[in-house]
Amino acid sequence: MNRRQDGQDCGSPDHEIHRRAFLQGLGAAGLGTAASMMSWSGLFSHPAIAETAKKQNKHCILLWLCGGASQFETWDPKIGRRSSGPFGSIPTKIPGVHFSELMPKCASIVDKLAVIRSMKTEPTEHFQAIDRLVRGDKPRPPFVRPALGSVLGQQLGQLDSPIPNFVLLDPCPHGNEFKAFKAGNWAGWLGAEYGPVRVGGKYEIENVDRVEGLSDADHEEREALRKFFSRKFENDTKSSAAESYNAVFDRVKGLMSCADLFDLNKLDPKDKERYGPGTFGLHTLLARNLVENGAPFVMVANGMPWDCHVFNHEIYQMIVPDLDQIVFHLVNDLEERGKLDDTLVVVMGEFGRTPWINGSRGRDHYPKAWSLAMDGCGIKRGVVVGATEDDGVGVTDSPFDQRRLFATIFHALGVDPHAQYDLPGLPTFHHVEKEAEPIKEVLA
Amino acid sequence: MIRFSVIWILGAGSLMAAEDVPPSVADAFWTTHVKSVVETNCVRCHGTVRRKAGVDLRSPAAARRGSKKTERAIVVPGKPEESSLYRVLLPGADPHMPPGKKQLDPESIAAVKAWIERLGEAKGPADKKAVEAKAAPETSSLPSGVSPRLVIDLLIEKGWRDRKVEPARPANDREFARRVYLDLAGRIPTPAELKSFEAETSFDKRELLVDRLLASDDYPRHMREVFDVVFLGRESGAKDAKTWRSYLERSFRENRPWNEIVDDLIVARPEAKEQRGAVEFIRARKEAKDVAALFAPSVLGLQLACAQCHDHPIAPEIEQRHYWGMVAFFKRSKAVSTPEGPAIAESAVGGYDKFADLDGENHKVYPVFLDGSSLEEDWPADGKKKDSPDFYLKKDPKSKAPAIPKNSRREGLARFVQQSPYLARALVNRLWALYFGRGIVHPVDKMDSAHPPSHPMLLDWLAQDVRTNGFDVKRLVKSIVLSRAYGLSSESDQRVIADAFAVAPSKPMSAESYARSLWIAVNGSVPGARDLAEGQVSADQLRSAIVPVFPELFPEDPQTTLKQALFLTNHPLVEKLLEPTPGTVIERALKLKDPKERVRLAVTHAFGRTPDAAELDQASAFLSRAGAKPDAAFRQLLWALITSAEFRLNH
Repeated sequence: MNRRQDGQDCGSPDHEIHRRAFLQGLGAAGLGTAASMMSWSGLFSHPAIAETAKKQNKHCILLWLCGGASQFETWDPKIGRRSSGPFGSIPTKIPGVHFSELMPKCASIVDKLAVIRSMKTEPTEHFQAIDRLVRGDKPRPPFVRPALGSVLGQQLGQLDSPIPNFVLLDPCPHGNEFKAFKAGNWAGWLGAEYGPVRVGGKYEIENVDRVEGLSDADHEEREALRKFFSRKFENDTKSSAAESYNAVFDRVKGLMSCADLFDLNKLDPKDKERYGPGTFGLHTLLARNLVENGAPFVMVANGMPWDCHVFNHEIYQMIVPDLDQIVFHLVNDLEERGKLDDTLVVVMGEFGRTPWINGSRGRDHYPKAWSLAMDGCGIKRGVVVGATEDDGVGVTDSPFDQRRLFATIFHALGVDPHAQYDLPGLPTFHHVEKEAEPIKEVLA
Repeated sequence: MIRFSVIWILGAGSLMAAEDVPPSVADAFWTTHVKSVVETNCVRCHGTVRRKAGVDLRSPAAARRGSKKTERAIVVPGKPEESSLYRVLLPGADPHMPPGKKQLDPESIAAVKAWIERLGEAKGPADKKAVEAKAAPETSSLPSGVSPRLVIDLLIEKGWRDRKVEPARPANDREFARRVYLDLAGRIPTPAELKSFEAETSFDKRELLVDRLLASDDYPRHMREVFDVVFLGRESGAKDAKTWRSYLERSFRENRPWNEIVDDLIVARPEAKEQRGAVEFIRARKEAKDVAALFAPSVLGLQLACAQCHDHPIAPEIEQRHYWGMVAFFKRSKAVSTPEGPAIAESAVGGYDKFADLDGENHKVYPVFLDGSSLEEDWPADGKKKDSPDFYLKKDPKSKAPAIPKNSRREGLARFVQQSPYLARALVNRLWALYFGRGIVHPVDKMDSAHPPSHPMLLDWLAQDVRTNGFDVKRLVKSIVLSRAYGLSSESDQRVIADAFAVAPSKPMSAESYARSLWIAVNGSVPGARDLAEGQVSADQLRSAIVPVFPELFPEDPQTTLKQALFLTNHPLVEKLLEPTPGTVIERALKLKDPKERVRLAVTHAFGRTPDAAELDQASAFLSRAGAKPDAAFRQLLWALITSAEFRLNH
């Protein structure tokens, strides 16, 4: 037990025994059924984070390029074509495959990536497209399909895990349609407990540090007493509000124990230098650490910076090299730490950009032919799948929609893509509808 | 008294008869058996947004109409075998519904079949008329003049019998007092208040307490806090919060009729100085659509936002034109400043907008109300009309107020609202939800056909009663909180059926009530009763910290968040609240020698009840455990009490 000595006891083991005796007494108290609902066994073992991580061996990091990143300035430059814009391209280790010259680092690790260059989706506006690509299917009101992170959090995580099962790292309060999407219902029919815990910027996890002057033991004991009263009330009333109240308190200790994992100030300065200085990089670093400590799903976002209707090239010149560096280090770090085989990394936005440049030197929304990259868990390394025409106007080879993509993600993580949700009284829904097949070409 | 109860029993008979007779046998069967099948399996393509093959299955009437495209019927009353609606559901049918491999289960198909058979039972115009007569709510034949409290008891008790549930035991005095203080005064009672209520011996002491609370300063403050959030939400409140709040508080203190308050807010031309705050409702939002988005749920109990892009997916009566119509009523209004303060000006022209439906067809926007009532306005051919002084009322040259259009859209809306049934129904439902944790229609702002009331007759009757009694808010409040259902215990030995109201609900306190109650639990007195000690946490400080963390009011399904649990566990202000400053319960407890006495004091202050034996044992063991410092241990005990569900919830 990681007992701090600055509390109100002298540190002698005697206290521990008496305290234990007290707490065990609480457990044995004549509470009838209430006692059986409580798990006292877990009260003393600080759930060692590493231990929990062992149980959850698959993870997913979604680097969410919100606004819609241009395929031409990233994964699919069109050599010598006007549609490709002013930037050149550079060869990768795979013969004939070029990335944008803004992505030299990713070009050097193409043998670890899987790139899909033939995404073909429908919605042309942000809100609908974000909704489609984050949930994996069309809306069907009044039912709300859970977001990818909610489903994977449920499938890969555990409700009593100290780290939240779905972490959304996004410091940006703005971002128009993304802001509206974020304010909506992420978890859908799975229920609020599967929604994301949002962290970043002003969305820090507040009040996660123990109150000054209270020792770990004090903290634990007063919580045990709180629980004793609170469970008794729940048992007496059978109230669902009390049930939700008590369930949430059960997660407090776990979250407090892993609070440091969310603290940007506690990051290794050398790591920070490699990923930083922007929040997207630093949050990707947090995501790496969270995943190493057992988080099943982390989504990294930053408002809608990729939506460049104006001055596309000027802005991409700044943000693509950042992305290049971030993806490069994330993939290498995960590999070095032996986590790449059980961590799936997906780099995508809600659509691509037009092959033509508009009057404001920008690119507009383009869902008809765009690219994304994946790597890690269950994914074949060093493949480029699908192709578009010379100017990137349409897909010439293997168009894939969001259902195929989601089937691939589920499959790669060992989750049955066609499993049916257990939803009494609701229509039949599956993880992926229409039995859409995973994209075999990118599966390991 | 005796004569009265005879009338009541007579009334009871006719009431129940009315409730027993459904609108029509087949329609009632649709609601109970077919609706869920159709909503689960069919309306996605036949009603929600699309109407494939011209078929709309959102209501029995729509289904009877058949396909709008082919103009062919899909049901032949009484003859399921000849009805395509039934035939397509059978295994192996071609075409087959739902399309693809999915096959409806036999019970669902049997329900559709049974509905079509029942349709055959009502034939001929005479019969049809009889059905229609029964379908109309028999509000006219209801016993009027009966106390609403008795009608509530009668219909809620009938609901228990229908649902085959046993009501909980009646709440004891302490349970009732804590609840009614929280609901009417927005705070828990002090130990002294509880004690004196318990000591009262008059047979009508609960009624006397309710009267006392309704006449107190706490009541208008609490109602102001609630309705501030109902009208404007938490995110962005009134521009001039002080004037707005004093307007609301005064309105509830004087028990102004609800319809007058609503009128003030829509018309927004306050004559008296103390009514000025009424302009803050419209002024709180820049765009007409945002004003409409606040107005419809708070005043009409309806969410219209769904109908912005298409007719409401599951409530066919809410059409796209109604959404745009509601926006139109506020469209010509604009907040301006005058020498007398802010005002809401209104133009006599403008707002000639169009909206596109899902087929891409454009429609002109008219100020049309939900029941189809519309203001007679010309829609200029090119969407432009020149403004002219002739369109406005002549005004006093000395007045600095904005000119008033002869045909004011806001006045038009006010008129439609006053005539509509929504106003009274939404008020009844809102107050019911305030005191029972859920509305008769739930959630409280979705009073559309997709959300049927749990007690339709009760809602109709109370709404009618509110109308005939001049929208008297206090009268309605009093009737609800003195009803038998309100006065039940919250204890239950089985899972609670929420819409039976057979057990008192455990509902989260509003943030404001919560902050005030936490303060009272620790201090044993109401805020302001005495001066704060040096460095002591004030109730206002507590409220400012708590409101952003506990913003929800009228939740559809009360959920606690991790953020809230962390706040209560680790926020320094909570810790500071528990400091033994003079006058606090902590200070008093430490003067007591016996740990059990300390526990009694703490539990009485926090829960308003005495601890049971197990609690006494556990908590005193906690206080006397080895190594525990008395003051720290007592603070921890008090923390454990005020952060437990029993304190957080009003039950």
